[in-house]
Amino acid sequence: MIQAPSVDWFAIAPEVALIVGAFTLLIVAAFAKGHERGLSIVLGGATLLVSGAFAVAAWGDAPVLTMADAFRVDDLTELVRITVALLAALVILLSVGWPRFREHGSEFTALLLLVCAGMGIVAGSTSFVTLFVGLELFSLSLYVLCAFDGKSRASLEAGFKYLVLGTIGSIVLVYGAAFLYGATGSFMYDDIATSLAKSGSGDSIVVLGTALVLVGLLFKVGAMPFHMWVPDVYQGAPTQVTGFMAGATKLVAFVALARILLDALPSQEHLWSPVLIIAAIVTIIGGNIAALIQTNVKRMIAWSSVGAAGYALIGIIVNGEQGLRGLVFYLGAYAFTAMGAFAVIALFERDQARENGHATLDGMRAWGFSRPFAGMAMVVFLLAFAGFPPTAGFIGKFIVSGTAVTNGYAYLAIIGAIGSVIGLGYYLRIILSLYDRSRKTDVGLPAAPGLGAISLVILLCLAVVLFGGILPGVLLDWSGQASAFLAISR
Amino acid sequence: MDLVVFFLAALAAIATAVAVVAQKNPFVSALALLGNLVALAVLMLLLEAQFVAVAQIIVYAGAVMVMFLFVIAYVGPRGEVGPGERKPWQIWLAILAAALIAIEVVAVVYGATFSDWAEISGDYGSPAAIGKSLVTNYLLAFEIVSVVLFMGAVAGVIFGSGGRPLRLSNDEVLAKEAASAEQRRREDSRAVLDAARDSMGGDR
Repeated sequence: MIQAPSVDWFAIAPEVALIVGAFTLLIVAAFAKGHERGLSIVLGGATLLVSGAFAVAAWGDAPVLTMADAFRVDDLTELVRITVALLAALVILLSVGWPRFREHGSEFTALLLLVCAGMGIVAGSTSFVTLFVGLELFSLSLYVLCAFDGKSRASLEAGFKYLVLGTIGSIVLVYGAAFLYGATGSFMYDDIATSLAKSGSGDSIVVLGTALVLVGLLFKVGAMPFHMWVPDVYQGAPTQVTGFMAGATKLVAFVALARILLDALPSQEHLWSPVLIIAAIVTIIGGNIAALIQTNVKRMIAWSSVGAAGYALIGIIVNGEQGLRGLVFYLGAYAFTAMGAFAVIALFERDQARENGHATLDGMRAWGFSRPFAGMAMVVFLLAFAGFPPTAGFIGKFIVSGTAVTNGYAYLAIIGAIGSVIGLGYYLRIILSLYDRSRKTDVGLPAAPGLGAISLVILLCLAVVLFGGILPGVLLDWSGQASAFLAISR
Repeated sequence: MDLVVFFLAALAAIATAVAVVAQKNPFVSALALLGNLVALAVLMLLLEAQFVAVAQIIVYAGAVMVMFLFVIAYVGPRGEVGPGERKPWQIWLAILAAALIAIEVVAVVYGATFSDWAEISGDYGSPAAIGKSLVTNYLLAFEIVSVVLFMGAVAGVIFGSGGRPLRLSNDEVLAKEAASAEQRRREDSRAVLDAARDSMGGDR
C-alpha cells in the first residue's frame, strides 16, 4: 500500500482555485458563444478574487510545508500570489477593448490564470522539480500570451523568440540542477544545503551546477548578459502582457533566485556573489545606455526594465534582512509602475488604432495634451522608474542603495546612481515628446475602446506608486514580513 | 562491454544531434532526431532506467515522432528560413562559446571525485517504483505537469484557429458551402467545354 503524502488543501487553495477557474472558464465559454468577453471578465475576475482572498486569509500564518515537502507556503509565497493576482486583474481590465479579446477572451483569460498558478508554484517551490514544473507552466503560458495577437507579425515573433530563448534558459537551469543532484543526491533545497555544509564546497561539480543554475535564473530575470530576449519580446507582445511580464515575471524569478541561493546554496556565496556583482553592474549600466538610443517607447522601457533587474540584484548581493526587504519592496513597486506605464502606452495604441499604432517617440508627440490624465500619469510613472520622490520607485532605490552602502557595497550604490542619471536622459525624452508644444493641438481625442477600464488601471497603479512613495510604512512592513522568510533560513 | 556500448551510443547520440541541426531537409532532421532518441534510450538502459528507456521509445520515438513527420508532410519540406542577417563573427562567437562550455563541463566532470556512491535497490527504475514516486515525492509536480499539457492543448487551439474566420454561424457556413458548390459547378462546366473544344481540334 502506497502512503500518499498529506495535502494541506488550504495552503494550496490559491493555485487550485486558479486552475479550476481556468478550466471552468474554458468549458462555460464553449457553450456560451457571443458572451465571450463578459464571461472572461466576470469568471476571470472572480477566480482571481477567490485566489487572492485565500492568499490574504493565510497571510501571517506560520509557514507550511505540504505535498511531500515540495511546496512551501509562507508570507513570501502569499505576497507573490496576491501581487500576481492583482496584476492579472489589471491585465484583464486592460484587455477589455482589445479586438482579440472579443474573439478569444476565454483562452486569453484562462492562460493568464494558469500563468498566475505557475507563478504561485514557483514562488513556493522548495525543490528544483517543483521549481522547474511551475516555471514551465507559467513560461509556456506566457509564450502563448506574447504571441496572442495573431495578426501582428511582431507579436508572433515575440512569442517565438521567447519560446526558443526561454527554453534554452530552462534547459541550462535543469542541467545545473542535474549536476547539483549528482553532487548532493537531492533536488530539495534544504537537503542540498545540508549536504553541501557537510561535504564542503570544493567539489567542482557543485561549482558547475551552481554556475548553470545561476545562468538559467539570470536568464529568466532578464539580467545582462542574458537579456537579449527582453527588448524584442517586450516590444512585440500585446502591451498589457508586456506590463504583466515586466512586473510579475521579474518578481517571481527573483523570489525563485533568492530562495535557491539563500536556501540551497548559502555555502556557495563566495561563488555566486561576485558573479551577481558583475551582472548587476553590467545590467544597470548596459540596460540604461541601450535604452538611451531607442526610439520606440515600448522598447525603451523594456531596456530600462533590464536595468531595473540590476537594482534588484543588489538586494540579493547585500543579502541581509534590509537588502531582502528592499528587494521585495522595490520589485513590488516596480511591478505596479511598469503596469501603469504600459497601460498608458496601451491607451496610446488604442488611440492610434487606425494608424500604425506604434508608440514611437515621434508618434507620441504632443499626445499628453490630448489625454491630460494619462499623460500626467505617465510622467509620474517615468519619475518613479528614475527614482524620484515622492514615488515608490524612490523608496525602493533608496533602501536598496542604502543597504548596499551600509554593508560595504558602496560602489554598487554609486553604479546605481549613475544608472539612474543615465535613465533620466531617456525618461525626459519621453516626457518632452509627450508635451511638445510645437505640435500642440486643441482637438480632443474621441473615446477609445475600453477607455474607462484603461483609465481605471492607470488610476490604481498611480495610487499604489504614490501611496508607496508618500506613506511607505505599510508596504515596507509587508515586504519585511515576507522577506523575513528568506533571511531566517540562513 | 558496458563501456563499449556506452561509447557507441554516446557517439551515435552526438552525431545524430548534430545532424538534426545541420540537415537542411526537415525529413532527414526528423529521422536524425529519431536516431538520437533511440541512442539516448540505450544510455538510459545502461543506467538501469528500463522504464524510462521503454517509455522514451514508445512515446517519443513512436507517437511524437509520427506526429512530427505528419506535420512536416503536411507543411511540406519548405519553410526553411535562410540565414538572414546572421554575421560571420556571430557564428564564430557562438562556436567559441559552445566549445568553452563543453570544455568546462568535460574538465569538471573529469576532475570530480564521486565519493558517495548510492546503492541501487532491486526495483530501481521499474514502472512500480517510478509510479510510486510520482504519487508520493513528486505528487505536486506530477499534477502540475498535467495542467501544463492541458495548457499546450489550449495553445494549439488558439494558433490552429488563427487563419480562418472565427466562429461562423450556421447560416454563414451554409452560404459558404453553397457558394463553393456553385463555383465548382462552373469550373466543371468550363472543363467540359474545354475538353469538347480540344476534341474538336479547335485552335487555341
